[in-house]
Amino acid sequence: MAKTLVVNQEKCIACRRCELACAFKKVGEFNPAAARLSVAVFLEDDVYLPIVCQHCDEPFCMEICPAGAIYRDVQTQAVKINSDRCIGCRMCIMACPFGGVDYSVSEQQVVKCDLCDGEPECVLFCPTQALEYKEPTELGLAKRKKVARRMKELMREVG
Amino acid sequence: MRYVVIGNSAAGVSAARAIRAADPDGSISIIGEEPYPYYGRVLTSYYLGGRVNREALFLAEEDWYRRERVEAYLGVKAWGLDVDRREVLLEDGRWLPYDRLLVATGARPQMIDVPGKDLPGVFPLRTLDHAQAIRALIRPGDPAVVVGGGLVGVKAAEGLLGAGAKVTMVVSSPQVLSQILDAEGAEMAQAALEREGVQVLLGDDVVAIEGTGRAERVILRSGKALAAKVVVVGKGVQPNRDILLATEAIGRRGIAVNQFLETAVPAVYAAGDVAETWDRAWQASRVNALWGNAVEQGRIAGANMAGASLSYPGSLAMNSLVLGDLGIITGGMVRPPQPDQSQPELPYRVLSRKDSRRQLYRKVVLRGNQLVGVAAVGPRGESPAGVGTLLKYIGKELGSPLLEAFLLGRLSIAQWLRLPAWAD
Ligand SMILES: Cc1cc2nc3c(=O)[nH]c(=O)nc-3n(C[C@H](O)[C@H](O)[C@H](O)COP(=O)(O)OP(=O)(O)OC[C@H]3O[C@@H](n4cnc5c(N)ncnc54)[C@H](O)[C@@H]3O)c2cc1C
Ligand code: SF4
Repeated sequence: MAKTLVVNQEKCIACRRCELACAFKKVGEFNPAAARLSVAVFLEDDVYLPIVCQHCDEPFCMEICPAGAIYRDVQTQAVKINSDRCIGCRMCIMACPFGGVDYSVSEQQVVKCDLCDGEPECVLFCPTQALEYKEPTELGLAKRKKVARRMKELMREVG
Repeated sequence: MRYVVIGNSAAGVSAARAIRAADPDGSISIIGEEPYPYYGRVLTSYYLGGRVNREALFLAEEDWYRRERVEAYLGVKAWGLDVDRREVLLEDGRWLPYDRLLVATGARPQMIDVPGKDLPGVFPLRTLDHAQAIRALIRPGDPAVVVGGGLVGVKAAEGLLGAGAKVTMVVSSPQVLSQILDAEGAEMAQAALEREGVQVLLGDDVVAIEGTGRAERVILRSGKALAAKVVVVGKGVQPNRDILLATEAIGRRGIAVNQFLETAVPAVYAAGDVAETWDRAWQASRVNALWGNAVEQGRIAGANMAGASLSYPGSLAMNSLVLGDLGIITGGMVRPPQPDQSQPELPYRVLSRKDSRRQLYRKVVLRGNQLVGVAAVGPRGESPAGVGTLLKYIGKELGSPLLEAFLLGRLSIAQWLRLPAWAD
């Protein structure tokens, strides 16, 4: 299995260094609006969660892109946008249920996490290892499921 | 197993891909009337406007067919079908036998029936050939007329502008984009088009096209005459369903299919613009002629042809449009039916909010507590992230805090986590 961004939700302290690191690497500015991931904060529930592209097995964005601009990187398995082919139609944004694709105002184009070609900057700057880049282990997968369940409960409470 | 696919576009090619993934040994043939390998129809207006070059139109190289062992009959029309012998008749007289057949013939543009409609210079915009012919004719500064203010009309106008033409758009309805936007949203879209330089004439019709040997003028019902070197007609499309016309697979508009995308004819499936599928927002069978729907239906039909039994969750009208400095995303039933004598009470509720200062318009349509339609119009520079989450919820119940955040234009990723768990 390929390495991917593993989120350990309970370790996140919402310091948002990941957002800043990502934005700096991608556009050279500490501008969270240009980051390819964002930290969702639920103050009242004391829950923080980095939201980032899931690099799905069957990505909706890749399926819908009418320009053939979204592809899977054979090396990293990342789902990436080829900006030369992108026509900016935003169908990918419309299709992603996770908010994994975004429009970057400063770059005037559609952007998403590309796993930094195998060296995700956000992981380097995360002080608590809430973000890790590794093969999801059995335990990791189980944890992911637990987080998903926790999120579900949370949503039920709030929703 | 012998698979035959008629239609070499979004639905047909994604079906061929799914078939190959599920059945490495089956023989797959794909028939396409157009002589080109798979290309992005959505890109044709961008090609017309010079924003996409010809090579970038192609989404599969000729090599793809060889690699995937897909026998391609390109530039060949499928003429007919013998459903008892399970064979497709090609226009060159050959018969292709099948065990499973997919009809993915898409749609063809509806033309206008007025004097002069056949003059050179009058085109629909559907194919690469159309885009190329328009491109070959138009020169910077030339006058062009677009007939129709729907999705393709608007795309054609943008393409023509890109090619340097002076564009006038003639729309018979009282607003542009009447299929996907209400009057308030449409006003913003029209203003964006006008800022781009398109002259928009509402509530008028073309009654004749005139010229000696080629189109030179368009005459309108109001009596106006407009100079026109090219006239591009975007008056909607009609499913290419002729091949199944004499069968019980014919629906109200297209070819009727069940949840597995099978038609009423044994071993025959249909997908894409030609298919009439269950619409999750309208709760009725409809043709939702859109790229994403065609790809998804093709994938599911293909897998089912190869032995799976995937159930199609239903189609949705989902549009994303960027007009100059304005971004528009709509989904589901944006304009619910209006009550009349036969149905004085309808269960729909509409919530909308316009923020003129931020140039933001938001609208949701509810049936009871169920979300059935969404429209988000806003500046191009505004990030519409989160709208995709909302679109996923069409047909489901939603809490009011989320709707509120959306209407205020504040729907962010953080909010989506507050949604009830999305179970597909
Ligand atoms: C200018 C333009 C802009 C668009 N923009 C958007 C957009 O922004 N978003 C969106 O979602 N959708 C858009 N669409 C619509 C989208 O292109 C269609 O929904 C999509 O192409 C449907 O795919 P399909 O495979 O069902 O059919 P089609 O793409 O219509 O393909 C059918 C193919 O079958 C072939 N064929 C038909 N009959 C036969 C026969 N008897 N024998 C052999 N071959 C046959 C045709 O030549 C054609 O190549 C746009 C369309 C146009 C024209
Ligand atoms: S915005 Fe670009 S990447 Fe996204 S669907 Fe459109 S062309 Fe593809």
